[in-house]
Amino acid sequence: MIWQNPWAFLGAATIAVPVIIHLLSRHNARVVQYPTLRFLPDARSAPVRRTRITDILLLAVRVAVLVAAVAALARPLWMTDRRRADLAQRVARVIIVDTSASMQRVAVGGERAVDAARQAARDGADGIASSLVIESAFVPSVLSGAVSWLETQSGRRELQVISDFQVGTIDSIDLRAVPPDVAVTLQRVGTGDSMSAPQPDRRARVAVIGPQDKRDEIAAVMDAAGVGTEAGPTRVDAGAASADTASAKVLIVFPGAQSYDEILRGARLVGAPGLADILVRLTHHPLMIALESDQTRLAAGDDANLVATRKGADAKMIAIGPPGRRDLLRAAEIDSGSRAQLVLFPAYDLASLASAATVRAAADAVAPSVPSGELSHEAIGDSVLSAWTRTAGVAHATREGSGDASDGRWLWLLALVLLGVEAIIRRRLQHQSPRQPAHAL
Amino acid sequence: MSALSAPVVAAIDDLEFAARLVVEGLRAGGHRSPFHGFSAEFQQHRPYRAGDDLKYLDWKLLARTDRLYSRQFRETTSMSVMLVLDSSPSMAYASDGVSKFASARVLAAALAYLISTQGDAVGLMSMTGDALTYVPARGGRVHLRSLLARMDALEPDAAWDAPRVIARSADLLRRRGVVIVVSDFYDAEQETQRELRRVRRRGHDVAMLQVMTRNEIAFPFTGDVEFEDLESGARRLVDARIAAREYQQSVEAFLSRVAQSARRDGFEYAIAPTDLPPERILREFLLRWNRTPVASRGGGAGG
Repeated sequence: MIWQNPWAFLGAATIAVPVIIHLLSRHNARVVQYPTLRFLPDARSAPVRRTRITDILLLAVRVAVLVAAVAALARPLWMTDRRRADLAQRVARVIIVDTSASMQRVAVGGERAVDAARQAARDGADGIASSLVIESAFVPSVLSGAVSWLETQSGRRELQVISDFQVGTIDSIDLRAVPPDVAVTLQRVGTGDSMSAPQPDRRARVAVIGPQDKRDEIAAVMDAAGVGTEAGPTRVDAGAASADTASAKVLIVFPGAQSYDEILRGARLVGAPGLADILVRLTHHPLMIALESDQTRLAAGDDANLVATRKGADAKMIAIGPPGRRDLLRAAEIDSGSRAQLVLFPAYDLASLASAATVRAAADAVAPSVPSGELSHEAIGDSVLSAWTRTAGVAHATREGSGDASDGRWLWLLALVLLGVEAIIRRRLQHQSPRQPAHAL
Repeated sequence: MSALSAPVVAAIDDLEFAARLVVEGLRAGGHRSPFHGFSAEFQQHRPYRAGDDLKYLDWKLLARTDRLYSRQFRETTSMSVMLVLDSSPSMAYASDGVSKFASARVLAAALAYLISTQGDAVGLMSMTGDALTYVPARGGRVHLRSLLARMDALEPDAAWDAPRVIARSADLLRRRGVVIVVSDFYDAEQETQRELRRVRRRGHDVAMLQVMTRNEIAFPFTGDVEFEDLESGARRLVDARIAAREYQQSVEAFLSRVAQSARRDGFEYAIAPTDLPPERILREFLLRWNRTPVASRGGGAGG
């Protein structure tokens, strides 16, 4: 027998209060002044009743009625063999997918670990009666929520974690929060040296626009910046405004590019917070700080150095550079149809190392940063994961899982029967009351 | 006009007024006092003279002798009635706001009023504390007022000695009269009956009005009750529901015993529940008394 609503039993405790008060109150008999005691029987023949059997029976029946009602409210469920078999078939599974930065590693086949984990999660949830997939960059923070959800489900309860299990992802102390009757499965994805180091996502892209006759120089700049891969910045035909530039987050427009003036006309002061963040990261990039080339030195960027220059009557751009030479790199914001883009206008020569440094710094500034810890390849060993794994969770039945199933109706029926018994006993006691005297008045 | 209820009559502070109300209610019903003319005695015959009241003509003698004779009575003297009022603590018990003593006092006062206004003598015998409270049997309005005032001053807290009070009341009746005892008759049952019989043997008539509350007869108590005797202060704790049956049997036996004993000894007897209007109680009491044959009273008046 299980109780699907055990809180109902609190009602039984409060029912005892009036019963106790009734029993205690019987100790004080009331005093009545009477003309004579000669007609009263001796106290021995009319003892003060404390434990008359019929009274106890009536009290017991009444208490039984209340207990049956309270038990019915607690929604009992008698666990027959059939019900146990049905519950054993039923599985409730919660799958936690690790989406931390280390899961961004790319396998040899080109699939990121997190994508493999998501697919594994979908496979794990397929065909399960009750399942829940949770994605989190910090697995321990969602364990308690996962366990809470499992407690509302009936059947065998299972917890599955899909991760690369880098050291720090989870530990045995975290798993103590999982009840012992819940099965725990730890599935590893994206492991081993086949995985590359976590790469910053540069799909936000940096576009380079230069003079048409400087294609080779542009290619050289890309190679020097070390970002000339398919996942890297888009190489734009020099001098041409291509549709590809619309998807770039940052445009670097070198002097002589055919669309230089056009882009310049659309420039305005950087206002979008995201673009300002990119600009700050750019100016704090080690390359931009330490670079010495062509006798050009960029002062360490801080807000004091970001001084708006005046172009005509409007301040449209931010000048970056040492005092006196603030025209070396200017930054502005333009619109490309649906979104704002950051535009950099370098003053230095396209083929210079400064240009390459600017391209690389811009590309890194656009990509999200990777915590250093996530760059580690050290993972939790398989033996440890095996030790943490639990199998064969016990099947449970809960109110939510059982739907409306309850054997409480039989207890309600019992309460009704007991009410009838109580009425019969009470009527019998009333009929035993003394008759009125026959003496005529 | 319906009779005033017992609580209403009991609530009237002026005992004389309450008594008058009850008696006027009785008279309105046309009831004849059984006391009036009770003690008239035949003395002799004398020849009928013109002007004699025809009701005194002896018709039987006329039929026998063809002669007219008037019956001559001894000068009608007023009858003497002694009211004995129980002032024991048990009479203090009240039910529905009416105590037995208040009810008994109204009944006694009404009887005194009725007797006095019809020309008879009425006296009072009771107790206050250990001492007898005595008002001699006399007639007249002034005496009545004095008697009612004494009655009004009584309280149900005396060391009641029923045989003594009854004996003394009979002693103080100078001529043949009536002793009416208004009491619950709880005390000294045997001795009281014996004394009443002695009163009867001395030639007086005896009437008993037994005052009881409905509670004392029906015993409507339930649960654990500790009863305290109003007279002795003794206590007894009983389960009222268990005790009720035996109690009611005892009370029925007691009331039957008193009634049968009264009937056997030739006493007038009536039970006076405190929840009935006093007028109704007295009406039934007087009706029954009027219907009682003279012979059964044990040597009644001549006529």
